Amino acid sequence: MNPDAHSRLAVPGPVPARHRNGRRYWRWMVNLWLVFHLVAIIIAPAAMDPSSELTRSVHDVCQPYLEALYLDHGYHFFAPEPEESTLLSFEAERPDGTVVRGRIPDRATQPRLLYHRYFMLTEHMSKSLEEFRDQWHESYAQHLGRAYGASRVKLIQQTHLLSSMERIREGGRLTDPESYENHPLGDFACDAY
Amino acid sequence: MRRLLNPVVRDLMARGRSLADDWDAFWFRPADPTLLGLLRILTGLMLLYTHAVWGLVLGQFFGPVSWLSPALVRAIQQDQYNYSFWWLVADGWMWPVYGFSMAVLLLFTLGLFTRVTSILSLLVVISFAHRVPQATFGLDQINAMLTLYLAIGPSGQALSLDRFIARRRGGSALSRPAPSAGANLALRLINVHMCVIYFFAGISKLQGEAWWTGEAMWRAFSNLEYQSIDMTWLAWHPWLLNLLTHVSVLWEVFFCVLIWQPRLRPLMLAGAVVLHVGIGACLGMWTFGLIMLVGCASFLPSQTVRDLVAALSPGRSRPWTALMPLPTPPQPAVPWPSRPEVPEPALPLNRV
Repeated sequence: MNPDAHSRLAVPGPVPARHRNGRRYWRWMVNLWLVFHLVAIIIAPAAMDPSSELTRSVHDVCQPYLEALYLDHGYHFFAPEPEESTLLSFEAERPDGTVVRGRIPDRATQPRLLYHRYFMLTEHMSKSLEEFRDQWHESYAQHLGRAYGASRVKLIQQTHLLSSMERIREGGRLTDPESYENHPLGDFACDAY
Repeated sequence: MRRLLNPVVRDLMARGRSLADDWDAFWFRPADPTLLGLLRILTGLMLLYTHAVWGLVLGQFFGPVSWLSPALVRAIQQDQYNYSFWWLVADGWMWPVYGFSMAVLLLFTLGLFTRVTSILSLLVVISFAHRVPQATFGLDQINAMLTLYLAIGPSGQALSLDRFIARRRGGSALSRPAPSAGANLALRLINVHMCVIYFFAGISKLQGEAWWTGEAMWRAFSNLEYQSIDMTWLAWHPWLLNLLTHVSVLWEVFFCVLIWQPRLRPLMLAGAVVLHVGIGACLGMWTFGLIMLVGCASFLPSQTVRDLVAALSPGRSRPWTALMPLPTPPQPAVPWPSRPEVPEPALPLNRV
């Protein structure tokens, strides 16, 4: 770059006092926001469980800001360690007696990002708070009832256990039926079909 | 006593001033906005893809009888500050609102009316994520983070239709964007946020036994629901799994320190490519892996990006850097954010 260009960029020329004060004010505001923002983006993951009362208190202050900007995350990718996954089997019974059976996530779903959306539905369901669990299952059942025109939907949560290295070396497969555990969630009457 | 204290006070004040200067230089030294423009395009493409995929199942996730019913999401989000324009959209308006959202994301990617479309894009990204929080994952978090910083910085000043229009109106004097403190601020915010992400991703793993015993990578590879390539052959190579486990944790934990070392930066960025391409190829999360690499690209040197842009520009066989050596020498902090853009003088050599 032409050295002249630098000097033209760096030296803005005489600035009236009123403008100088305005700039100084802006600069202070930006710096204050910057400090707050840095504290907020660090405290968001730091306040995830397990955490101290101090970090949780600071997080309480930053929480509205973090939530409004969708920054309130722990970034605990595959932590504390990769776990078994959760699937959702369903049986949707139509008024004429026919039954549609399925499972989400379905590995045949394309594109892969869509598969992950369904996968997240089941993963988040398995980790939901007790107080929301019934409403959660009801929501999924009503959706399936609507999607398949069913009057009754049966949901089964499946836990796909991880295989050890020894088991694989001895000839086991990741799809072996014994690696799945079923947990019935109930039968739901669907009024939205 | 006063004579004893004076040098101490003077020293403390000098250190304070030096710290303030360093802070100013780190955040506000004017930077070339070309890299920010490149990040806008890459992030915009990912936003378009992410939201195009939502379009395949819009009714399933955003309709009245969706997987996550409005009642359920509102119950989970009570006492939270999770706004979403989807709560205001009547059933019949679902597709028009979706179409408008996609149009906003497209304009943002192209860099048209970027000051406005970047902020609208942020609203779109956050609104979609807050409506279906239980269907989101790391991709959505990084999408929103990058969009936020691209809205803060002048991401439309380079590699954009805004720039193209300005050049057409202003002639050759406006052919290159001027360095900007706002561009530096946005890039630094992405840099620092990426460090925070990797650091906490790393130390949160230290709570898990499998990351210490070296079995964590096996647990990830042997999870059929994540798996996109059969990696069970690794069961016969436990040492390799142990090595991959330990290296990935160490890389994540120390990224926030080593990435700032110029000599180690290429190594750390190469590690990022290996890690995220590995996640994409083996665990099927290409979108997440790619958007993390976009975040890591914020650490690329301006000169490299300028060279890349010059090489890809039609009709330019000579890199711009031959005409305009970069990186630019340190400049004193200039008044920000009200500094007007100064047209750069004509280049001393003719462009080919």
